[in-house]
Amino acid sequence: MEKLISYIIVGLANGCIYSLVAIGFVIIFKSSGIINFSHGAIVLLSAYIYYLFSFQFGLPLGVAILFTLAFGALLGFSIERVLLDRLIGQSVLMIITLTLAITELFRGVMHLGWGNDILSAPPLFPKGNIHLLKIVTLDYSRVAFLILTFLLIVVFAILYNKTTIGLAMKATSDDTVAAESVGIKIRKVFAATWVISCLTAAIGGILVTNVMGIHFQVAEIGFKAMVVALVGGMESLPGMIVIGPLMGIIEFLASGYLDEHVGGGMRDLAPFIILLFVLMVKPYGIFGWKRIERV
Amino acid sequence: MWRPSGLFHVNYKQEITFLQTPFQKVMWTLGLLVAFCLPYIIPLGFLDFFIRSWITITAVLGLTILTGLCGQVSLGHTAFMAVGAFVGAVLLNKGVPLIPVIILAGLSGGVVGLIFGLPALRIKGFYLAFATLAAFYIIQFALVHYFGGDKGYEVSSPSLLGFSFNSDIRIYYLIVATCFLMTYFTKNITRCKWGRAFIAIRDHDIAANTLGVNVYFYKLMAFFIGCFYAGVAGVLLSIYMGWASVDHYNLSKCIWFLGMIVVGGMHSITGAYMGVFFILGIEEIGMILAPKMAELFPQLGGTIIGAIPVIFVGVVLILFILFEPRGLVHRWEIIKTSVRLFPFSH
Repeated sequence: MEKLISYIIVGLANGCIYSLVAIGFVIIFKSSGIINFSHGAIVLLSAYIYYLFSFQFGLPLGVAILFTLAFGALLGFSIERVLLDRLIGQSVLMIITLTLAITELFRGVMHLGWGNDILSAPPLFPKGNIHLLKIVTLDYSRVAFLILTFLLIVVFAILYNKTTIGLAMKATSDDTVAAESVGIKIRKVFAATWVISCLTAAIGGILVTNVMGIHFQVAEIGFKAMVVALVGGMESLPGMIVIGPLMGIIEFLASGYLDEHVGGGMRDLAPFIILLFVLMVKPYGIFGWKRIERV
Repeated sequence: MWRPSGLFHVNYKQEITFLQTPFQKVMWTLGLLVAFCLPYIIPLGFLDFFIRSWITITAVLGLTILTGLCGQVSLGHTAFMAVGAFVGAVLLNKGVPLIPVIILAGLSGGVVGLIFGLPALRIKGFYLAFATLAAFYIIQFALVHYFGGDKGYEVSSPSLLGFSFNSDIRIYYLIVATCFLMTYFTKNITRCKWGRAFIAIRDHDIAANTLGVNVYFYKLMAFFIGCFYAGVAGVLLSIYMGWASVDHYNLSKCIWFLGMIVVGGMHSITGAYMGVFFILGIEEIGMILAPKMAELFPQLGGTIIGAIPVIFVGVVLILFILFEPRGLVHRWEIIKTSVRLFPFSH
């Protein structure tokens, strides 16, 4: 029983990372209908950039964080303007291949710049543990993660429901042509979504360095987050908020109870198995919109 | 099918012949000749490049059918190759003859592909791409944990009718022969009823359904055929490497396969050939250049050697998608047309 509770709480804290990164996917998908396969690579790249500024250049942490966020925003803007803007109207395969090619490019660049070693950036949060119910120990960075994720979700909820640009994004995701006809600048909306998405990726990157260190495994978070996004339904932010922590819990339960029977690795596998089942039963995710197609 | 002016078919036999124009006949003969003389023309160092190219072509032809013709994006292609490789390795070590091994490896890849193609019945596009990515991870997990592990299997060199494939040149001929056979199959699939059904599904699956194409059946068959090719390519690669290991079949390779069909031109066999040689050629150039660049920039150290080919391929893919989304084959058609219309071309 104690084991179960500790799995659940640690999984919950870990799952928030997925929620945070998954929000990045969902924002882009909602407005432009593109799933960005390079999101994980962008998270990792921002982590490396944070490492570059904070450790290699020795800047103060606040400045390093600001620069990393600026880098993320610039990266998102340039990817949209230089690459994806030209692909409007192309087939899905082209867009998938393009984002995968971006992944490969970033992989090469990161390999070139920082090599294969596991790096660790200066910690953001003081070292130490919180004891919950005398069974579970969580370090401060994970707790900070939880709190930050929920803060960000609140920010996004306000952005989507109260601000002009947020409403424009909603309108664009609903119907691009109709949105254009009432005077919404589609290109601006697309650029804004990419900037916001890459900003969340940068935030995710900075936070992840504190929990996991910086190495190539971090890019896999992108895929896990994509699982969360697909299971939750690509259109729904509430879906992300529910499914992310749930997926974290499932991961830890699977690794805790099944690993000894199958020989390890269940933690990375469980989300994908769940994804396959969900895609077969509810193809557009648990909270997603059912799309009706016609000829 | 497109034919040059003045070439008419007067009976059904001409209509169904494999090579219809003189140009095709010349190209196929030349291709066969060059492919079979290649080990004696080129320096021996390049043999490895060409063996890998032919194996990759076999795999990419499968992806051409699955993704190019039928429109089902697959990110799990290398995993199906791995299935074929492992099955082939186990069977070869048990002493099963070579030809049944290749067929069985292909079938095993195909059946696994069929199982993981089931989500394609309900989803498409990005969702399907991701479902196949999940398949990739699941298959890799199963192979590592239940069938041989990280270490993999050693593959003894196979023999056919007493002829042992124990040197690179002999394996080259095995691989070229298989690759040409698979190309022949591919060409026939593209122009028979199934190929037409695949194209109809790619262009619009609901419209295809209303026209009486059994979408479910043909989608699954596309997965089966595409993954059959992957399985065959997998067993060929494991025979060449002498070892079947999960490491040879990573996700990055799969991204490159998709890139190859995009660079080559999506729905044609010529495109698959061009794409494979182009991308692998770029990688080869990167690998040749990398040590020289490492000398120029010693502060970057050894990482540059692994990174340069990846960066090259990434940049080439992005440029192609932006500026030539119809692929090399489109460029090739333009060149052919302008040669044909030579004095009066526009």
